[in-house]
Amino acid sequence: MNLKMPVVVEAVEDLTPDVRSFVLRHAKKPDLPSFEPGAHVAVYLPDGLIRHYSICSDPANLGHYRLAVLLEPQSRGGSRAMHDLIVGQRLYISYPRNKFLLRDGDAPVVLVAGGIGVTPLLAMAHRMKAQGRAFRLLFLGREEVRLPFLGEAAALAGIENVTVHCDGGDPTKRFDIDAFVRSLPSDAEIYTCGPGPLLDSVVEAGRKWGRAVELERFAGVTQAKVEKGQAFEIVLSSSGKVLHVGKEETALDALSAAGVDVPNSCRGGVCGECKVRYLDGAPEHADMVLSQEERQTMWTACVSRAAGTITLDL
Amino acid sequence: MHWIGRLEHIHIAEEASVEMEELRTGSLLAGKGIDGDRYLSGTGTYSHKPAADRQVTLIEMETLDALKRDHGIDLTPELTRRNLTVTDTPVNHLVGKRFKVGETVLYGGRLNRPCKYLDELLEMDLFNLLLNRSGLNCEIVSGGTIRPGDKIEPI
Repeated sequence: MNLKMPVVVEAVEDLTPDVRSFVLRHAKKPDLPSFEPGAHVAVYLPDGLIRHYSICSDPANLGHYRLAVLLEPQSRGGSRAMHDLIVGQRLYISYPRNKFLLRDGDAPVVLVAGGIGVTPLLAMAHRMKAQGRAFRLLFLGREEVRLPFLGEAAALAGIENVTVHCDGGDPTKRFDIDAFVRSLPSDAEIYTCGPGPLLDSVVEAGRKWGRAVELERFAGVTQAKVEKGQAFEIVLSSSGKVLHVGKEETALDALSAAGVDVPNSCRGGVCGECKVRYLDGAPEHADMVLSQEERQTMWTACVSRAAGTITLDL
Repeated sequence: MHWIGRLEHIHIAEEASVEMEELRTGSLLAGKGIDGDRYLSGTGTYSHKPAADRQVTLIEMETLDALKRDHGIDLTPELTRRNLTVTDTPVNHLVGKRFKVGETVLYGGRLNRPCKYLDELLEMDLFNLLLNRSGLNCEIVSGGTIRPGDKIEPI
């Protein structure tokens, strides 16, 4: 679901010197859509940026979603724009999406959080607490004062089930992930989120010692691309320019990316608005609108392709 | 042709890609659109190509029922992105005709065509299933307030 929904910032709170949390409620309805722990939403920021953040609040409470964002001075601007949000501000977010599901069952669960990576794990902790399911939490970071939600996470897990390790940024004091994973029961399920190197070491240890690992990486939440057909080339007759149309894109996508504006509407081959004249090549017509006669000279850019190369009157 | 249809749901979306919102009463403005909808404010997906018949759109509830019955697809009125969901109304036969929805009068401009944009928005494969039954794009001839339950009648 790629629909957006309007939300209002209800509360802003500084959790650590550089982590700020945001409570969002639906702008028009009492409840937000339900979500499974581990889910994230896309936030459409006022300056046009789109960023993805995990929902860290209790999935049983749909009156609001809570997000928490680490201010990263080196970031591409998303965390700065988030930190600039104020109470009462209205913005759009996506429906929740989830690629980091907590499996039901009795297997012992171990949550491994690296700093701000605790956010999706916190929603999992809420769910397990509600189910009466015991779990452990390993919370890693540089300094304890910079670990967000430590108190809340400890309360959910039970203090005796929480291990906190801060290395102060000293590589020689780094937590021994390998030994930790090795010590876990063989049927343990590890859920981890945090910086890339931490996740890599958890995955490696999991593989080495045969423990199941589920993870969520911060960067690069991309949608799966669907193959649309064979790749081919478009030659623009006016300039001689050659455009490559990849397997996962349409001619319309490639033309648009090259700054060639072809009017279009349905993008499914029924309206005929994107038809263009072709001068040479082997068209593979896939529309449902052009007549056999029209197909001798015209071609729809939204769904039709070509074998090899097609020269368009553009 | 004699028939009497019924208005079941009224929905608006404040902007392109934003979820629809159900209304208990809709305010139709002649020659403009539905109060609060993206095609009145000019923030719809197709607002850059203005057309009088994009002021209000209709879809048959029977189409949604058929999608469920024949394909197991739950396309709820809220997801269709059409403004008025109607029953017992032969919308495909209203092209070029005036008809009443409650106290208002609409003119059927042209059949709505399915678009890939909806498939991408909902992550559903609806395009082929909605061919020839994707609804009707209308112009508002005479405005007023409409409510679910209102009668729809030919003029």
